[in-house]
Amino acid sequence: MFKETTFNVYQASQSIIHKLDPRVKILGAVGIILSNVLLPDGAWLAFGISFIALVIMVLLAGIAVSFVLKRSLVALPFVLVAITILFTLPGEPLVSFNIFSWHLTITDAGLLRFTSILVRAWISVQAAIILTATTRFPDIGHGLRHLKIPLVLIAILSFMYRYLFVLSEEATRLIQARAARSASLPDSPKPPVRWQAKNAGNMVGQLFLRSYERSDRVYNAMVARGFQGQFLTLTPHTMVSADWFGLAIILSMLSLIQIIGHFF
Amino acid sequence: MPIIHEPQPETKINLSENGPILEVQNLHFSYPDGHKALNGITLQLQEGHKAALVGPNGSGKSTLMLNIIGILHGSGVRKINGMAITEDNLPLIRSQVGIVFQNPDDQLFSPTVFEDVAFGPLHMGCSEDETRQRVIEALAMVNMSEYINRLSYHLSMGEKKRVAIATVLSMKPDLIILDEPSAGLDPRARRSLINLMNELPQTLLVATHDLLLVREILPRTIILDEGLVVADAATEEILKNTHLLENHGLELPV
Amino acid sequence: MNHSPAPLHIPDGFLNIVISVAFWLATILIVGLAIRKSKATLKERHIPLMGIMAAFIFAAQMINFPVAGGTSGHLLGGALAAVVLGPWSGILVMTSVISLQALLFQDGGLLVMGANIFNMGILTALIGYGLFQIVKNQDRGIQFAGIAAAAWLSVLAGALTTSFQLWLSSTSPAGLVFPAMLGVHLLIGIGEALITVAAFAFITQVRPDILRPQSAEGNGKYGWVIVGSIISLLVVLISPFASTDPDGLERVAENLGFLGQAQDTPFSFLPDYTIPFLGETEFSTIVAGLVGIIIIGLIAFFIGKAVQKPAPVEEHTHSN
Repeated sequence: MFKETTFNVYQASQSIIHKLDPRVKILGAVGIILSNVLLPDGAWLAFGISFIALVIMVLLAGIAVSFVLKRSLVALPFVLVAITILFTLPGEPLVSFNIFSWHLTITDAGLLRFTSILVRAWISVQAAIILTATTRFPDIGHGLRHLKIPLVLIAILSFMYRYLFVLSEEATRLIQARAARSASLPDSPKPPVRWQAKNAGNMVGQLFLRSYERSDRVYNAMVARGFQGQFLTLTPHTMVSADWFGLAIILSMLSLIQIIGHFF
Repeated sequence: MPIIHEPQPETKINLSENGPILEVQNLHFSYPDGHKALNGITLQLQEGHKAALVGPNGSGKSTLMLNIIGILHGSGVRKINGMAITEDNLPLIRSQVGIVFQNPDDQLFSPTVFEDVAFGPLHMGCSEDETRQRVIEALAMVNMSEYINRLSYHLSMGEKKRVAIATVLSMKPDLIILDEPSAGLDPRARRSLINLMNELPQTLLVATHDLLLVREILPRTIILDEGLVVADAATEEILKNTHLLENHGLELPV
Repeated sequence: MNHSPAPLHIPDGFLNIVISVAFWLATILIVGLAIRKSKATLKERHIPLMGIMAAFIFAAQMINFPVAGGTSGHLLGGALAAVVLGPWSGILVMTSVISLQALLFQDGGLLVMGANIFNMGILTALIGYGLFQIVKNQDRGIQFAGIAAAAWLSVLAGALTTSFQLWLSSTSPAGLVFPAMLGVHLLIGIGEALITVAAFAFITQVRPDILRPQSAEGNGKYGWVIVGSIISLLVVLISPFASTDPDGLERVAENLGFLGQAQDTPFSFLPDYTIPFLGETEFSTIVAGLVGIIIIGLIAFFIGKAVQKPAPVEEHTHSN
């Protein structure tokens, strides 16, 4: 179900990380993720340094470690997709065991590959979490604009962000209204899936029409304030010394990590 | 940090200093589906007037308001500051007439309060500095200065309504139209909104069902029913006339 | 926040760099086209309509219905978006949904976003709209059947490409990822089909006029039919083959020459001062050296900017 707090990915604070230009933070997060993917399997020293760098950032930003850890679990389900590589990549067998009627053997190559994937994914998702925890979404939008992402895309994302809460609330109300009318007596049969799907489809259709008509009203409000088709915006961020230093540090770190990862 | 005021270029045309700000004559309008919403509306608003627009639902209030800001185009005379509304001068018209819609979620469409209040001036062609200046002034007028960097979806209904008014104030219009401003507000927010509206220097046209609000701050009342103006007089007179009120689906709370 | 139905949002770290970049390129091209085409049809209403429709899809993904044994079906929405909004707008809306989910909620990675958008936003729209065009002018029953098939296939297509991407990145073996992904999504697709048809039926019943503008977007409708049909055909043919004969799949890939490249070790950037694909030649050594010089140059540039006196404030008003 939906709660207002699910949108609270941003943790307000006055740390130096928070004050960094959003461009720097976006490039930093993408940089770490890219660096991870470019490191070969088993580059434990390099992965370790990346991780420590993130920990330092979390501490500097004043975010609770538990917050980051809890949100990093979002990548967990996909681990199941990768887990079979433990057994199927050819290599030296390490340990065997039996589950039901299957005889499974974990190979060294498989273990290396699996744990590398895991570490990469975990570090990457944490970098992204730190980005959103220290940068409000409108500022991420401005940062992307500075980085030359087309304004049309940013504008659409801004509108989407603005109305995410409103429409999600409407969807929740529809779901609650349905729940309130979904009584059932102990022995009565459950309604068929087709009927349930039809109700759900009606709700989706209802939400669609409300949203469509709302967009007409929003358009009128824009037009009433002078909108003529050309979307204008202010970009209030300028790079200061701290931001350039930040970039220099990030690039140096990532190069160091790459060198260590490939040669040691 | 000192704020430097830059002299504003004259963007408005005042053809006659003493003419009405709003002039509507024999305005008719039908929707595409055939429904005739306005059947010959005639009214005038002088500068400084604060008028209420009342009437039952479906009487044509919304249609009239959308005609006045040029989103809908009926037949008949519509003039703002003596200037007729045509397809070509819509941007100019919209710099002189502002409308605060009923649902603030429709009006506040930007992620932050600052960006919403800045939208009007920015699209009017104001420079970045001028825009910032106007945002600060507008938010101060509605007592929402500390909210300048807040995210719009976080605000309460009362706060949103105030910011919605600020989004129009930053455009410095001569006439402000408000659609059901007190709807959905708790008593405290309503009180604060009424006080705010009372202090606005602009000419106001307020569509509302809230007759107590009308009695308190709007000296003139226009009753609309079935697309026609059925009464246009001092509020005191109209509210005394219970027969008139009843005939047009209105009721004064005791 | 994870309320998208299908486990198709790939996180970072699961795909190798070559695949990520390849799909990013494809996605950028197609989305760029979608922006232009969509704007040409919708004009001034473009931005608010697309934004709010994207929020709608996001919210609609919350609406569930019980399927069996405690599981519930949800809407992914790609096919529905394309059918009611037109193909280009549908692609744009789904792109927004997927990028916001990744950016804000880490539902899907940043580097792999190109692949995610392709799988869930582009393919779904192509199949959805393409097949809808075939049945558009038939009577209700056939229309609904067509839309149901389109929705089901769109989910399957997303699962198929996701499986390919995971297999080629050596994240999951063919023998397991294909049957697992496709099997699961065969069922999930049924939920998608049911709810998409029901939503479409509701919309066309209450506001049939809404669907009319979007037919202008997909002009040249035979092109869409062809594209949609070809993709659907590929999905229908490859899926069972991949699921039941993974060894066959690997053999085909080896013969085509790209299995060894992608699978043995993940793409290693600059090992031993060389760049793969160029082999151990002097040329690759020079390129590696150049990359090093560029990086050092950039760092020097950043430090230079950092110690510089700030420039006078410039006007910063951006417009599109």
